[in-house]
Formats: sequence, C-alpha cells, structure tokens
Amino acid sequence: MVPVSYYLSLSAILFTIGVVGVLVKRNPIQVFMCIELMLNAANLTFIALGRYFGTSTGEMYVIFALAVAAAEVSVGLGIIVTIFRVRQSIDLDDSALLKS
Amino acid sequence: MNLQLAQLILWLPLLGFLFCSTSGLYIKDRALQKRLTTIIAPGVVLAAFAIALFVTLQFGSTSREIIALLPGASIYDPWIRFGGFRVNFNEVLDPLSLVMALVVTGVGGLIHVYSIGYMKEDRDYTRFFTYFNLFIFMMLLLILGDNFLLMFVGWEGVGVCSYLLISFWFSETANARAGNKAFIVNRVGDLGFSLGIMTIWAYFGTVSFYTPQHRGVLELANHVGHVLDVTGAVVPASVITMICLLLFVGAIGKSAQIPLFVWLPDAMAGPTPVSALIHAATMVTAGVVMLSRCSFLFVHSAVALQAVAWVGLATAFAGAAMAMVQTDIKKVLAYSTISQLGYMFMACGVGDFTDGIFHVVTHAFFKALLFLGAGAVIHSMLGEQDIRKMGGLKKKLPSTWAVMLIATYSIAGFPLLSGFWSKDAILESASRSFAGNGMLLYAGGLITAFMTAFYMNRLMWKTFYTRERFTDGQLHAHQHGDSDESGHADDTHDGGSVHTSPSTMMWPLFILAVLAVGFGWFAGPFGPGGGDLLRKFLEPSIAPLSLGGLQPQADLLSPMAGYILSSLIAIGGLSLAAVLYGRRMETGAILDPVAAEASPLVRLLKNNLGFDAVYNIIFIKFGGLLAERGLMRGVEADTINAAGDGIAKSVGGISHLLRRMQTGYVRNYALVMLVGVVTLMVGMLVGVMQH
Repeated sequence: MVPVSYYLSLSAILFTIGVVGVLVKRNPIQVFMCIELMLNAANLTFIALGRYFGTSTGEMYVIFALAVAAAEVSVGLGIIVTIFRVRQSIDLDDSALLKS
Repeated sequence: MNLQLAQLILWLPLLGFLFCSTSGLYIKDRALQKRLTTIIAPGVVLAAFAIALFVTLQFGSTSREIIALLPGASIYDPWIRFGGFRVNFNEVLDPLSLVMALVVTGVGGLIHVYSIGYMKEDRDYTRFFTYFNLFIFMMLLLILGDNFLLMFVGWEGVGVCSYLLISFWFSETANARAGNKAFIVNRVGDLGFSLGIMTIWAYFGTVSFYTPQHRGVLELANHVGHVLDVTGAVVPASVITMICLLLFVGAIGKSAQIPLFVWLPDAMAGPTPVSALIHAATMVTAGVVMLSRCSFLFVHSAVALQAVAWVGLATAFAGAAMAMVQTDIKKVLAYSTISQLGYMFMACGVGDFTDGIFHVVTHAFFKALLFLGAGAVIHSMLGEQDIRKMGGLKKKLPSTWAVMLIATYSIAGFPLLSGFWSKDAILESASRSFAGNGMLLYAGGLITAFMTAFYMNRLMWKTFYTRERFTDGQLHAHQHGDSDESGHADDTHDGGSVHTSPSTMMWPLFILAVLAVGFGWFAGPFGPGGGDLLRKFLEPSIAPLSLGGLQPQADLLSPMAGYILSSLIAIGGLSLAAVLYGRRMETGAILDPVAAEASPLVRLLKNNLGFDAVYNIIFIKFGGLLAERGLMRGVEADTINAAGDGIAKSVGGISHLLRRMQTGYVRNYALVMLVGVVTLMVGMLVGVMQH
C-alpha cells in the first residue's frame, strides 16, 4: 500500500504549482486551471487522510468541494466572457480599472 | 393690600411689544394695523403708569415688598439653579424702584403719545413702537428686578433697544454707524458691570438685592462699618472697593460719563422722541439708578465714592463746555444731558444718592421737554437741525417757545423751578463732601451751573429770538429734497412755510412743562407735608453715609445763602447769553464763524475733547493693525491655519505614497493574500508547537 506521505507530498506539489500559476499567469483561463489545481490538491489531501483514518468524512468534503468548484467555474467563465465582450481582451493586466 | 397687581407694570409693555411685533402677520390692512398700534402701544405704557401710581399710593409706609414676577409663582421659585448658584425671578417693590417706574412709565407714556404725531408719516410706524414698548419693558426690568442678574438683563435689553432706535433710519450709513458706536462703547462699560456681578457672586455667595430670608447683598451690606457674606464672614474692604469700581465702570458706559461719553452725541442720529426717552430721560440715568441701588455697598468704600464724585464733576464741566459750541440743536441737548448726568454722579459720589435720584426725576421732565420741544422745532423746520439756520421762531411757534423757555429756565436752575431745587440740593451736598474737598466740588458745580444757564439761553436765542436765517423757499426745497430720507417730514401740509405740530405732540409738552415747573417744589424742602417728600419716601432704599463710618462736613454756606448764590449764578448765565446775543440779532453768532472754526479751543470742544481721535488711533488704527497684521495674519493665517494645512498636507503626502500599493493587478493582490495566509499559518504552527 502506498504510504500516506506520498499522497500528501503530491498534493503539496500540485498546490504549489497552482499558487505559482495564479500569481504569474495573465490569462484568466490558465489562472482558473491553477485554482482548480489547488482545489484538487486539497481534495486529494482530504481523500488520502480520510482513507488513512478510515472515515468517510474526507470523501464527503470532496463532493462538496467539487460542487462548489463547478458553481465557481460557471460564474467565473461567465465573467470572463462578459469582460471579453466589453474589452475585446481577457488579459488580466488590462483589467486594472481600480488603479486609477 | 394686594401688590400682586405690580406684576402688570412689567408685563403690559411686553404685551404691547408682542402685539406690535407680530401684528403684521395677522393684520393685512396696514391702515388698521397703524390705528391699533396708535391705541395699544401708548395705551399699555399709560396703563402701566396708572398701575404704578396705584401701587405707589397703596404702598404707604411699607419699606419693601418682594413679589414674584410671574403670576401664580412663588417668590421662592428659582429662575436659575446651577449648583450652589440660585437666582429668583422676583421684582422688588421699594421706594427707589417705584419712583423710577413712575418716571419711566409716566415720561415714557407721554413720549409715546408725542411720537404718534412725530412718527405719523413714517413708513415703519409700527416698528418704531415695537422698539419703544420693548425699551419700556427692558427699562422696567432693570429697575424692578430684585437681583443683579435681572438688572443686567434689563441693562443689556435697553442697550439693544438703544442700538435699534439710534439706527432706526438705517438706510443712512451714518445712523447705522452711530448705533454701532453706542453699542460697542457700551460693551466696555458692560464688561465692568458683569465683572462686578461675578465678583459679588464670588465674595457674597448671592446676587440678590433682597431675599425673603434677609440674605440679599444689600441686606448683608447693611451693617455699620463692615459687610458680611451669606455665611456670616466679613468681606474685605478692598473687595468692596473693587466691586464698587467695577459697577461704576458699568455706570460710566451707560450714563455717558468721561471717558465713555462719546457715544451719546452720536446717538442723536435717532428720531427725536428716542433721544428724549432713551438718551435723556431714562436709559442714560440707569447708571445713577444702579449706583443708588448699590448705595449700601458704595458707602463702605470712600475711594469708590470719591472716584464717582470726581468723574461726575469732570463730566459735568466738560459736557457743559462742549455744549457751548454745538450748532446742532439736538447735540446741544446731548452734551447738556452728559453734563447733567455728571451732576447726578457727583451727588452719588458725595453719598447723597437721594438728590441724585431727585435730579434724575427733574431732569427727566425738563430734558424730555427740551428734546420734545426741539423735536417740534425740527418737525416744523422740516428736518433742519442746525440752529445757525433757525432764528425768529418765537412768532411762528409760540407754544413750543413757551414750553422750551420753561424747560430752559428749569435746567438753568432759575429760582423755584424744578431744576433749581434738585441742582441746589446736589451743590449743597457737594459742598459738605465727607472727604473735605467740598469747596472744590461746590465751586466746580457752580461754574458748571453758570455755563449751563449760558448755553441753554444761547440755544433759545439762536432758535427763537434772533432774526430768521432761513427763507420759506429754502424750507420748500428742503422739504422736497429731504422728506423721503428723514421719513418724518409732513408731506400733507401746505408746503413751504413753518407749520405747527398736531395736538398729540403738544399736550405731552404742556404736562411735562407743569412738572418741570412744579415737581421740584413738590418734592423739595419747601413742599407739602413738611417738605422733603422724596427724601423721606426714598429713605428705606438708600444707605446713609454713616453706615460706612463717613461723616458729611459742616455747611460752607447757610442754605439760604446757597439758594441766593445758585439763583444769582443761574440768572447771571441766562443774562450773559441774552446780552451777548441781544447785541447780535442779525447774525445770531457771537464769534465770527470763520474765526470760531480756526480757534483751537472751539475745535477741541467740537471734537469731543479729542476723545474720538484718541479712540480712533488706539482702537481703530492701532487695534485694527493689531487685528489685521498680528491676529489675522500672524496668529490666524500663519499659526492656526498653517497648523491645519500642515496636518492636511502630511496626511495627503502619506496617502500619496500608500496609493502606489494599489496597482490594480489581480496577481499582486493574490500575492499579498498568499503572504498573509502564510504568515497566519506560520504563526499558528509556532503557537501549536510551543504547546
């Protein structure tokens, strides 16, 4: 059986990739993918630890997280489509209206 | 005996004021409003006089009665209760307040009636009577209030009414300025008065004159040789002197004594009835009334009394000197008022408060008469006030001439007229001054009396006897040029010639003339009821000198010799003017006008002895400079505003730096969030590991 530390390490690596992606990417689609990556890293942790402790609580949380992520993506994509319609660009650095 | 009626003396004029001030809201018919004002405004004052007379007759041998001012209230009800500070809302009925209430409502009522005719054509007829009724109310509050605070309310109230009425025709800048001057100069005096009241509160623990428990200031001062406070401790003599001097500063301002007299001549800018009522008969005597009310304090301070006497004498002399060179009929009378007020102060200063009040009363009669007579002259001359342009009016205004003549002889101290008795009583008391300087005060008083007789007869000659120095054509032009701005010129008369005044303007003059002749005899030493009626009546309100351990000196002259000397002085002054002007019937001037203008003495006298110039330099020029350069630029702009601006600028600068943090890039915010979360988690981990 694969030790739980492997799962947790993988999860940490995925989460870090996600964080770095959110910080450096200028394309909102890519940023979204990175956010999904972070969510799934967390989900992986939940499942691994749930299995390790022999409870189903972790799996329950994952289902919640998937549902929330799905809702979030649909709203997020809607916003991106609207921004594109208005500005003909979805570059995040172009959407810096608050600065001035 | 029901003295509760006395509440009405005060409230009736207030009702009149409320009616006049609000009638415009619900009476749309201006003619009706004017008719109602004509009835109500003088009516309430005359009714108040009737009540005051009734109360006085009921008063009998009662020495003092304190009654609550509000109907149904108790004399123990507080007006202000603030910590240990308690003031009641009561009025004190005693001989002093009743005598003054009679004068104010009586002379005030007559002047109200006179004003009906005088102000008939004025656009602001109702406004005039609004102020007049308010003035009577405030003056009565000053007189009747049973504590310093109510007196102060009345004191300020009459000041406001004086201001409003001096600048009644405010569309003329000069009138508005005169009102400002009167109000601002009075601030100086009022500061002294209010400091005096605060000192009284600090040392006595009360500001009431009399209280039901006999713990009022005047009752506490009613001990031979010392003054107690409410706890029974002795108040130091130096404090009494300080209080008296501070109160005296207030009296100097209100009663136009040196050095604060400069406002009174300018106050003649108001309508003539205002000059008669406020600036001759009543308000300006408030200082004398206040000193008399506080006589129980003043007799304990020989220093303060001496100050009062000398300021009084100096003012009497200087006022008379300045009156001799004036060419405006009302200004002659204004300086004469200053001079006569000086006499009253001199009387108070030698401890003879009773004769000070005696002179207040007789002066109210003959000076009101003089002003109203002058008003009738001005009215007939269609607004002309310059006596150089009058002359020969005796033929045209015989009844005005007659009453003016009576008043002139009365103020000059012609034997047996009212002014003779009161002035002689003052001179006699001055000659017996407790400080031993009676000779100086008496001599000064006599010289002033001579000057008074001279300048008053000068006025009469210039106005009534010498050849006419105007033509009907001038009057005609004057009427059309001036009637709108002066407001009181009568447009309905036949145009172009001197015209007589309506009967409502004449019969108050006749009543005052009777009083100016007879009141002095009635209240004086040879009057009915064994003589000295006023002195005996006032006795409970006035402190004797012996209370402060002071003693009048022996007589300089026997009373009869004093009467003869005063009579000679008065007749001498009157005759000198008659002789000098009798020789110059054509020009009506003793001095050549050009030479007079060039004389430095005349110029000094015409310019208020230079007081105006000094005040101008000190307060307006130097004070203005200090305010503008020092306070406005130095303190306000460079310090206060600079500090405010500095704070605002530094906040702005910091904000400018902080603004750079807001890049608008989502990833920057995400990074900050990450840093925050990491910091938080590190902190939590450290916390967990430490346990």
